[in-house]
Amino acid sequence: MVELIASANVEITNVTKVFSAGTQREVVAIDNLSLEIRPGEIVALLGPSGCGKSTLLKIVAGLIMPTDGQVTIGEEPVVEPSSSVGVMFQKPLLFPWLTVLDNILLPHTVHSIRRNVYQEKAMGLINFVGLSDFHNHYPAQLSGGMQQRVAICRMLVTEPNLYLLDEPFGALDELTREYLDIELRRIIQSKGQSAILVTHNPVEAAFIADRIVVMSKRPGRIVGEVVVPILEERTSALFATEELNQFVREARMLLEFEDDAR
Amino acid sequence: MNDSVKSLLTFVGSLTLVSLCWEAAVAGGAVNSIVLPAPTEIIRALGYFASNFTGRIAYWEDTWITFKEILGGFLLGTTLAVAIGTLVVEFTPMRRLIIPYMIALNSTPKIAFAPLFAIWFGFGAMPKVLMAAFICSFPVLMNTITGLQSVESDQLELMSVLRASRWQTFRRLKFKVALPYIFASLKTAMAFATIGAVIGEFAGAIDGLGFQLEFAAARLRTDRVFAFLIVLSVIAYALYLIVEILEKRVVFWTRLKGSDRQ
Repeated sequence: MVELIASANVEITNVTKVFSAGTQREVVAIDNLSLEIRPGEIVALLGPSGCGKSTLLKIVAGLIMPTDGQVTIGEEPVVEPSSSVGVMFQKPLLFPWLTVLDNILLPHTVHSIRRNVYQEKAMGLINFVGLSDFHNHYPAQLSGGMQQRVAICRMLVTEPNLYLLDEPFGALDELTREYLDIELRRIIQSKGQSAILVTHNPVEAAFIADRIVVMSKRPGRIVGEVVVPILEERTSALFATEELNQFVREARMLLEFEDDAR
Repeated sequence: MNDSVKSLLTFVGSLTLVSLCWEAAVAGGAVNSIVLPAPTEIIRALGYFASNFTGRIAYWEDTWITFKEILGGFLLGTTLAVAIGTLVVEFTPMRRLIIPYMIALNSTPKIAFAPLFAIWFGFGAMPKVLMAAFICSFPVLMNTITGLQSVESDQLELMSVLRASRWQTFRRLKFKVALPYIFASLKTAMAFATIGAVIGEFAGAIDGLGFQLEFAAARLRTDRVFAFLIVLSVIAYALYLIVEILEKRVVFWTRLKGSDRQ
C-alpha cells in the first residue's frame, strides 16, 4: 500500500513576516529567516511559544504570504495552498457530521470527486493506522488520539510530497503523544517524503526529525541546528536511550542559550 | 421509574389537581363561568368543536386554513431568514445595506403590522401568511447569522489548505456549523408563526381558528374560546414535534456524546 512519490525540496529564502505593518501594533513575527529542507528530510522547527514557527509553517503552506522573501517548493514559488502539500493542525479539525471514512475523503469531495474513486485508498489508510473497525464511526465516538490518526489519513489521502505538521499532538496526553510520534515517524519514513514538524517539545523533535532547527523568541530567527543521525527504525525503546537524550540536551542548550542571551 | 415517566406523572398529577380546584371554584360560585369556564365546560366546548368538525359549521375548514397559514408563514419566514442571514454574513455590502433595516424592524412591535397587512393584502390567506412569516423570521435570522459566524478560523484554514472554493466552504462547512443554531431557532419560530397567523386573523378575516376564537369571545362564549385555544395549541405543538424530529435526524451529530467514545 506504500507508494513513493517524488519528495519535495523546500527553500525558504530571507523570509520576513510583519503583522499589522505600519501601525502601532506592528509585530515582527519572523525576521529574515532562511532554511532548506532537502528531499525526504524530516525537519523539526523547535522554539518557544510565539516564536513564529507556526507562522512560518503557514507561509510554506501558502495560507499567508511573507512580507518579504520567498518560499519555493520544488522550484515553484508558493503563492497559494497546493495539492502537493499536506497539512496537519494542532486540532484534528474533523467534521462532526462526517464519518471517519468521509472525513478522510473530504480533500476529494470538496472537489466533487466521487467518493468511490478514492474509497479503496482511504480504507487502506484506515487499516494502516489501525482504525479499520471505526471507518463508520463519527469523530465524537473516537478518542483524541484516534481523531488525530484520522487527521493523518486525511493528510495522506491526497498523496502530498511535503507534510507540514503544526504541533499535531500538542493537545494530547504524554503517552498518546509518544505512541503517535512513533506512528507518525513510521508513516513519513514509509512514504519517503519531506516533512516540517513544528513543536515546542525537544523530545518529540529529536524522536521524529532528522534535523532540529531551533528558533529564537519573537522575532523568529534560527539560533542553531541539531542533526539527529539515528538511521535505524525509531521505536518506543529509543525514548529511554542516552543516544536520543544527547540530542534532546543539545536542543535544550540552544533554547536556553537563546534565553540567557536576552 | 425513568425520568420521562416521572415527568408525565408530575404533569398529569398537577393538571388533575389544578382542574379539580378550578372546577370547585366555578361550581362554588367563586368565579363566574363567563370569565373562567369550568374544565368540564371547556371539555363540552371541545366536544362541540369535534361534532361540528364536518357538517354545516365545518370547523375542519377553519382548522385547515389556519394550519396552512401557520405552515406557509413558517416556511416562507424561515427560508427568507436563512437566505438573508447568509447574505448578511457572506457579502459585506449586503451587511451594510440590510443590518440597519433589521435593527429597526426588530425594534418595532411586530404585531402592530397586522392591520397594515390587512389593508395592503385584503382578507385572504396572504396577510396571515405574511404576518406569520414576519414574526417568525427574526429568531431564525439572528441564529443563522450567529451560526455562520461561529465557524472557527482553523476550520476555514483547513478548507483553504484543501483548496475548497467559497461555495464548497459554505456548503460543506459553514452551513453545517450553522445548522444546529438554525434548528434551535426553528422551534421558537414555529410557536411565533402560530402567533402571527392568529394575530393576522384577528386583524381581519372571515374564517380560520383565530377568527372563530374572536367570534366566540365577542359572544362571550369563553368556553369555546378556550376550546379554540386548545386546538391551536395542539396544532402548534404537533408542528413543533415535527421540527424536533427533523432536528434529531438532520443535526444528529449534536447528540453524539463523549460517552460514546472508545
